Amino acid sequence: MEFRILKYLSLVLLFAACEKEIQVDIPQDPQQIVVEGQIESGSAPIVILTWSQSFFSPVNLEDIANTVIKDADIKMVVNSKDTFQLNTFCTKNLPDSVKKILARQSGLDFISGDADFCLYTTFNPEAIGVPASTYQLLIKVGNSRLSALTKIPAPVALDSIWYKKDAARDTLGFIWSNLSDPAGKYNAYRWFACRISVYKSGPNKGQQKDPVFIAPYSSVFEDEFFDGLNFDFVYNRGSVPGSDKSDDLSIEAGYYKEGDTIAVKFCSIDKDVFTYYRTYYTAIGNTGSPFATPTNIKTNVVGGLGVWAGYGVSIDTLVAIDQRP
Amino acid sequence: MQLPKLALLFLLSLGFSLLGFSQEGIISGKVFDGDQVLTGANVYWKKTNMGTVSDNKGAFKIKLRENDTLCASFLGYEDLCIVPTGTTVNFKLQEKLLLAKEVEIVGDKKEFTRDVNMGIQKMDLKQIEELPAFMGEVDILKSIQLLPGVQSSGEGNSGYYVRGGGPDQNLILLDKAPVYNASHLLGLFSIFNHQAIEDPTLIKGGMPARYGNRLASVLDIPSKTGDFENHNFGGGIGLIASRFFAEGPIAKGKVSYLVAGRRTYIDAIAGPFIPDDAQAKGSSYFFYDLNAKISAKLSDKETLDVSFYTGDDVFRYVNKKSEINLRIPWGNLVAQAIYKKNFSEKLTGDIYFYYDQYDFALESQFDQFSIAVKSSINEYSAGSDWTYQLSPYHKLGFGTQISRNVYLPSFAEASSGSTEFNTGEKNQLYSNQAALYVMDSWTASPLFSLQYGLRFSLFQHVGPFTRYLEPGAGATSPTKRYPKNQVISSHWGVEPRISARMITGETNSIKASYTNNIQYMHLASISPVSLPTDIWIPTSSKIKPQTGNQYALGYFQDLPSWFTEFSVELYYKDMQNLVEYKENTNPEDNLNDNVDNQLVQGRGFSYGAEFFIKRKKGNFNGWFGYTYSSTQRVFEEFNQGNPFPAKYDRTHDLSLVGTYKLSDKWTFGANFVFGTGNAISLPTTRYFSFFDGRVLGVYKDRNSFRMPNYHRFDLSATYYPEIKKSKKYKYWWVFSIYNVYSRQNPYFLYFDVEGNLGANNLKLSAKQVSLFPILPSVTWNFEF
Repeated sequence: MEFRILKYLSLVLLFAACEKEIQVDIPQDPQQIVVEGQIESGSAPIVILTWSQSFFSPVNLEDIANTVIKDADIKMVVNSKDTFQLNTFCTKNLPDSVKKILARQSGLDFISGDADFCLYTTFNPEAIGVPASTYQLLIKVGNSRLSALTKIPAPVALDSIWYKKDAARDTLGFIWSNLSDPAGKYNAYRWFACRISVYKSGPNKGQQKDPVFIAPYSSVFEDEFFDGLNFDFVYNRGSVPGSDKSDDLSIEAGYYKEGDTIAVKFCSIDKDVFTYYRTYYTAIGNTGSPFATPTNIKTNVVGGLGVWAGYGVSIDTLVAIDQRP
Repeated sequence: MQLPKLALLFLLSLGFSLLGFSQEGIISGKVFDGDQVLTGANVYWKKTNMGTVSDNKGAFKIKLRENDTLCASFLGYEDLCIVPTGTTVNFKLQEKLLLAKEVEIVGDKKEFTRDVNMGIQKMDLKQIEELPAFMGEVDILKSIQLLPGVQSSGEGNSGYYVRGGGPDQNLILLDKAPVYNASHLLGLFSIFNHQAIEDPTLIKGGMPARYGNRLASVLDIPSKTGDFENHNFGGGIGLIASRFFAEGPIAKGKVSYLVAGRRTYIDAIAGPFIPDDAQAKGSSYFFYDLNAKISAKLSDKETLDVSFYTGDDVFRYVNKKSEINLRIPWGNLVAQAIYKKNFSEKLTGDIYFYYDQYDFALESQFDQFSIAVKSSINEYSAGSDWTYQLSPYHKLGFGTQISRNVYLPSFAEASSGSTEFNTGEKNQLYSNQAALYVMDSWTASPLFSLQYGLRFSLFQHVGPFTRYLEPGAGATSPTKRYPKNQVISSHWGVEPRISARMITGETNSIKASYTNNIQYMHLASISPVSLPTDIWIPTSSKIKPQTGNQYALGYFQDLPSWFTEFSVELYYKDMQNLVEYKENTNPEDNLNDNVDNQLVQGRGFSYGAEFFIKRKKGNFNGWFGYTYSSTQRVFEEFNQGNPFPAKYDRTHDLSLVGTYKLSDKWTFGANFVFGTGNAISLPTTRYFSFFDGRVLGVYKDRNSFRMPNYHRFDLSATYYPEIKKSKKYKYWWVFSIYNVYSRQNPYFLYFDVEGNLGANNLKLSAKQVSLFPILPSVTWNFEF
C-alpha cells in the first residue's frame, strides 16, 4: 500500500520529466502458448489459445487474430472424472447477430468485428460450471502439452451494494459494497461491474454504456486481513484499456454517474487465480514506474502462460442514487 | 582452521618485532635538521634496505649490521649515509632547495604514496562548495560519486554504489554513529548540511579493522566543532532551501557550541498562493535538518563532545472534498557523546555512546478507510577506540563496541469504518551485537609497511519474536513464539584485514590489500531504487549475514613538478548472502508474516580498474577519474540461476572535475561525467489478454538491456565581492548550471501501450523518461 502511494509521491520528482520514443532492439526469444480461459458458475467454459509474440511485432486486429491457435486439442476434466472435448468456434463462420450475442456472453467485446477470432467451448449442458467443482484443462498443440487446474469456489453474495457520491463531484461517485466474509476458510474475490444504461446523447447514443462486465484496476482481493469480518469496500469504475469513449476521457473517467443502472458481478476465485490477477495488476501498475521491479505474471498454466479461471458468480444490480440501503 | 592460524601469525609477528629490539648490537641516534628533530625519517641499512623510522623525538634504534652503511632520508631533505663507528649515529640532514609550493606538495605526496592505506579519498569541503551544485544545494554524497569506483544510483540522486556493493553496504558515519537513510526527497539531496561537518573521508578498499558491519565502504563524516574563541554566524539562501549556522564559546576557550539547520520552503512559499477553496489546499512537502553540538575541553588532554542530529521529510496530501488525507513522514535521529583523552604521549582513547533511529510512517485516510504503516530501526551502542604507539615501528589500534538493535520491519493498522482488519501483530526483531578489533601499523622497513588487523564480531537475534512457520500462509500460518531475551540465532566471525605498501621510488609506491567483512544487516528493497520504504532487517535464523572478500592492488605515483598525483587500483570483490525479495512480492506480504520469509539469498562479484589523476595545488585543481568495471549477481531463483549484471553495473565510468581560481573574486568550477547506461529488464515478448483487453509483457533475462549512456556537463561560478577588512561580515554568491547542454539522460525505459484492440488502434512503443534538463541555480551565502 505504502509503495503504491509513493508512486504518487514520485510525481513530485517527475515534475520536470520529459519522455521521448526510442528504438530498442529486441532479441528473438521463443514463442510460448498462452491460455486464457474461464468457467463461471452457470456458464459454459471459454478458452482462447494464442502464441506470444516478439514485443514489437505488429498489433492490428488481423495480426492479433493470426496469433490465435485454431487447431488445438482441448479437453476439460470435471472433478477428475468427466471429460469434455472443447470445440473450436471461429467468428468468420458466424452471422453478425450471433457474434454480438457471443461478444456479450463471453465478455469479448472485439469479436463482433471483422477479424477472425477463434475460441474453444462446448455447449454440452453437463459442462456448465458448477460451484465447488474442479476443472482441469488438457491441451495439445502439435507436440506441446499444457495443463491447468481451477476450481469454482462457492459464490459469496455481497450483503449490499450502493452508490455514493464523491464529495468533490456533483453527480459522480463510486460503488460501495458490504461483504460478510465466511470465517475460517480461504476466500478470494474478483469484482466486476457493467453499466447497463444506454448513452442518451453523443456519438454512442443508444448504445449500452458498457457492453460487457469490466473489472476495475486491482479488482481482486483475498481475505487474509479480514477473514470472517463484515466490512465496506469501494471500487471506482473500470474501463476498457485505451477506450476513446467520451466518458473515459473526461472528468467522468473512473466515476459512475448518478442515475446509471449498474450490474455488479462479484466472483469467488481460488488462490491461484487470485495470484495470477494480483501479479497481473502489479505488472500493469509497474509499467512506466521507475520505482517498480519488472515482474512476470504468475500463471496457473503448466507449460505455458496465461490463466484458467473458475468464477463462483453472484450478480446484483443497483441504480446510482446516493443512498445506502 | 585458517582464521586461528592468521591470529597466531598476527601475535607472532608482534612478538618477534618486540623481541628483535630487546637484543644486543643496537645502534641508536637522532635525525634532525639543525633546528628541529625530524619525526618519521627513514633510517635504513643501504645494502639490505632493512630499517626503521625516527620517533616523535627524532630518535631511532636499529640492529647493527656489519659491513653496511646506515642511511637516513626524509622527504624534502638530502639523503645522508654514514658508516657507523660506535653505537650512536646522529644524522643532520640538509634541506633540499625547493620552492615553497613544492615543499607543501611534498607533504601531500608523503600521505599519498607513503600511507599504507589504499582506496581512501579525503574530500575537500572547500572545493566541494565551489563545484557545481544540483539546484544550488552543496551535497557531499553527490561529490563522492565523482570519484573512481563510486557510482551514482541515478539522475540527481545522492545514493551511491561502491565497487559493486549495494547501497546498504555503505557505512555512513556521522562521527561514531551510522546513518541509515542519508537522503531527502527520494534521494535527491543528502541529509548532510555542509556547514555542520568537516572534510569527509571515503574508504572504498582496505577497510581498517576499526570499521565493521558493512561490506563495501565507509564514509566517515566528522561533525564540525564550534569555535572556542569567537562567535560566528552564517548561512545561505538557495532556490529550494535555506541554511544557517551559529557557533561560538559558551565558556571561552573551554566550552563551545555549534548549531546548524536547513529547511526547504517550497511549501511555505507556495502555500499563500493556493486559493483557500482549492481541493488540495493543505498539501505540502518539506524536509529539514538540525545539527547541534556542544564541545568541552575538560583539560589539556581531555575533550567531551555531545552532538545531536535530527532530520525529517514530510509529505502531505490533502483533498478536502474527497476526504483524502495522506501524510508520510520519514527521517533520522542521532544523538551521541564522545569522550577523548590523551592518556600519555603513546596512548589515546575515545569512549562513546550513541542512539540512532530511523523511522518511516504512512498515515492515510479516505472516507471511512484508514491505514497506518510503520517501519523503524533503533540502535543503542557504546564503544571505545584506542591507539597505542608501541614503538616507533608499531602503532596499535584496538577497540570494542556493543550494540542493541530493535528493528520493526513492517507494521500496519487498517480499518474500514468500525471494522479493524487483521494485519498482524507488531513483530519487532531484537538483536545484540558485539565487536572487538585489534590492528597494527607496522613499519617493517623504510620501504615496506604493513597494516594488519583482526575484527571479531558477534550477532545474536533474541526474543521476543514470533516466527511464522509457513511462509506465505498469512494469518493462518502456525507460529512459534520466543520469549524475551531467548537467543534465537547466533552468528559470529573473524574478519582479517591487511594492507601493505612497498615504496618503489622516491615518488612512487605499490600497495595491496585484502579485507574480509561481515555484515549482519540487510536492506530489503522491493523497488530497484533506494526509497524510504526500504526495510532494514537483521540477520536471523533464516537469513545469513552478508560476507565479502576484497582484493586490491594499486600503483601510486607523485608528479611533484605538476603538483599532481596519479594512481591505478585494481580490485576483485566477492559477496555472499546478498538478499533480494522473491519475485512478485508485494509490500503487504510482510504483514502476518516475517519479512525474511519473503527473501532469497544469492551472491555477487565485481572487478574493476580505477585510474585517478589529481592536481591539488595552484589556481587550477581538480581530478580525472576513470573506472572500468563489471558487477554481477547470481541468485538461483532469478535468471535461471545464471549470473546477471547488477542494475548499477557500469562498464565505463568517467569523471572530470576542476576548479579554477581566476582572481580573489571569481572561482569557476566544472564537472563532466560519463557512464555506461544502467542495466535494465525489459519484456522481450508479449501476449494479448482478450478478457481484459491488455497487452502483457514477458520478461526473460534479468537486466539484459542497457539504457543509453549517461553524460552531463555542469558549471559553476563563485563570486566573492570585495569587502573592506573592517567589516565584520562577508558574503558570496554561487551560480550553478546543472546539465549545461540539457542532455536528455535516461532515467528509465519502459514499453508503452496506447489505443485498444476493439478500435484497432493499438500502438506499442519504447519510451525513455528523462528527469532534469538544464537547471540553473543561485545561492547566496553569508558569514558574520
